[in-house]
Amino acid sequence: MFATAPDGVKLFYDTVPGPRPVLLIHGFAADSAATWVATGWVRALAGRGHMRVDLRGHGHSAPAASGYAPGEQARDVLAVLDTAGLSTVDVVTYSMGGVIGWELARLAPGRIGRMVLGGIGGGPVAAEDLRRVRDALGAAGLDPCIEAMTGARLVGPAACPVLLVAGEADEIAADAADFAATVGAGFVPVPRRTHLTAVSSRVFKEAASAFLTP
Amino acid sequence: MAELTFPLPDLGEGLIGAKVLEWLVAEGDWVERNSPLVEVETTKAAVEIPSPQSGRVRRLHVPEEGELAVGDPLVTFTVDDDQAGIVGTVPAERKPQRRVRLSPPED
Repeated sequence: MFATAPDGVKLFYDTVPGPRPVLLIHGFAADSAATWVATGWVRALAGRGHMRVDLRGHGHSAPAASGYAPGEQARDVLAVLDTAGLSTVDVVTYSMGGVIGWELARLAPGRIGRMVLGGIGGGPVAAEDLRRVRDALGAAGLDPCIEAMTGARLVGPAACPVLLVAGEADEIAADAADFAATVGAGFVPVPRRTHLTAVSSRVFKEAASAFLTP
Repeated sequence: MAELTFPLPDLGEGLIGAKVLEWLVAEGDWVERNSPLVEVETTKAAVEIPSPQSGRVRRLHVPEEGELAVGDPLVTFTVDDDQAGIVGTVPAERKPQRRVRLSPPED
């Protein structure tokens, strides 16, 4: 299914209804199928319901020349929530998706319950990290997204209860534990996992399940 | 009883193999079809593979951190005899068929 962003870009989303739906926001150069379906997250959330969205320029969503700033992409996601008729959701994000989820909670605090941010710390997004992720995933383009996201960071205080989760070998999120402490959030490390491999871990899923709205 | 072995499935995108990150079941466990079986890592992604079969786990063929190619044996189940003989295939998705009673039962 598709929703329309404020500037007209078509955004893909898929949703399964449930009593406590979880909005899933993927990271840079990935998409919702690879990040949330292939990893088993949708299976793990079967009792709650979920909505997964492909960010602009990613997955099945249309490419766009602009509109990639965190606040703009948060408005994209808000438009998808409106289209899907979801008034309040919990949120799970990975990597760059955390910057967007964080902005979303500030933009629409009454609509976000609890939020779990995976694979992200408090440092500013570095262009070289984004390029490395893009190359590793074999993606192309996305230069406007790199430009708009470079320097973005999670700026406190959090607008809702937040939990951070990151692989112990995740260099991109190496400061996640320290950052979590500065904003009063919990932190769960995933032993031995990297930025690529923490997302599918049982530790991440169980931590999220325990933290999200019961 | 019979044994049924499943290989590492094709993970798409031309990927030819994977590394086992973590087994989500142990030998001797009973596992339901479609419940989480194993996490693997490819060059591009981490993937959770659900169990293609309900049965008791007889053997995990590759240790954690071990690598295998698409088609290599991944897991062997012990199953009832009537489910054997389909080695190497994943059962097709079929919607469960519901029987509908067309006339009300007599009291």
